[in-house]
Amino acid sequence: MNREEEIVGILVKKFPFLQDRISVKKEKRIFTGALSRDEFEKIVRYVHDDMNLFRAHHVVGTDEGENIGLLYILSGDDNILLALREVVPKANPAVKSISDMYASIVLHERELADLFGAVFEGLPEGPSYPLPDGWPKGNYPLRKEWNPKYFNKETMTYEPPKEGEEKE
Amino acid sequence: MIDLDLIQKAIDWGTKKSPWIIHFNAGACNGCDIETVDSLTPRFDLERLGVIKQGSPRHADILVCTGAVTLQTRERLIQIYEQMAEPKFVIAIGTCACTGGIFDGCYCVTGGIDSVVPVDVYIPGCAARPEAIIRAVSKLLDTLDTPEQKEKKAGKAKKREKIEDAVKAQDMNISEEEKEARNGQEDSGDES
Repeated sequence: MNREEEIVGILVKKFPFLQDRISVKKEKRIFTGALSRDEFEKIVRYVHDDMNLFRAHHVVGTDEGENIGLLYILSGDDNILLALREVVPKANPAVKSISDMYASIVLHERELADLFGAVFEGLPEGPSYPLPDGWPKGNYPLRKEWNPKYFNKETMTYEPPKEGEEKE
Repeated sequence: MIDLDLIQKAIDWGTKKSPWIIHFNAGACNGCDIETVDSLTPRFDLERLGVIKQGSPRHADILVCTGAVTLQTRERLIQIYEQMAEPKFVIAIGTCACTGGIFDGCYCVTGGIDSVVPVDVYIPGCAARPEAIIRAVSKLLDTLDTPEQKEKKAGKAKKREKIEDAVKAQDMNISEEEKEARNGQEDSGDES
């Protein structure tokens, strides 16, 4: 048995709900399916404390219509990347920050908070990054429904046309 | 009495013989920055023509800009441009600096360098070749003697005088009538 399947086996044994939702896509790459907030918190706490995956590389944000997807990429000493995919609804995009375990993830999470509007609980306070100061609140430029052509860069205001006027 | 024309001639001569540049990255991918540095270092060696890279905008004659202007760098670019002494010139290096390039229309990009400060020379290319940069600098230096450039300089000087007058008038905080009266006195004083 190689190391990837060993990791999958440990995780499935510990968390039975992962049974059909975790797979080895190719050498050294393990992916999970969509996880809810509670499931993600349990798994990430376990892999950090007990499996010695001490490195967080990146968080990838995706707009999935109703939901926002966050793909956390973690690794340890054996250079196997474990990608945990957390999905939260756009209406209430509150997730728990993992910056208390992985200090290097702060900038990545701050970026997602600015560009996708995810709310990270436990993220230390700081300036907005990477959007400039004076950016209007509630505008998340990487969401699909946000259109840059309605954004006035001089006055920093976003004015989409009202419904009905949009069709030309 | 200082001969201002002579000093201006000396400044023009110095600018033409040894233009000092300041390099500013307004949001480039670093491709054009590498080519800019490449054109200064021994392989292409703009320094043999007297071009020196300066750390401070106050000592520089030419502002060399790369990259599309983002909302974060817009005010910094204006500040640096304002700090430079006259006569000042701006070179936009690379496609992004000329028009915004592939970043044009992005949520955080205002466009090319000329959307913020006036540009004298455009160098397209992704990334711009060092040969193109050298040719642009030499072309810019050739235009210093043309009548157009002289007119531009004269126009700038007039504009500056106007601004100085306005500032003076504000400082003295006097009404128009008093000002006229004072001018009349001065005139009469000259006549006598």
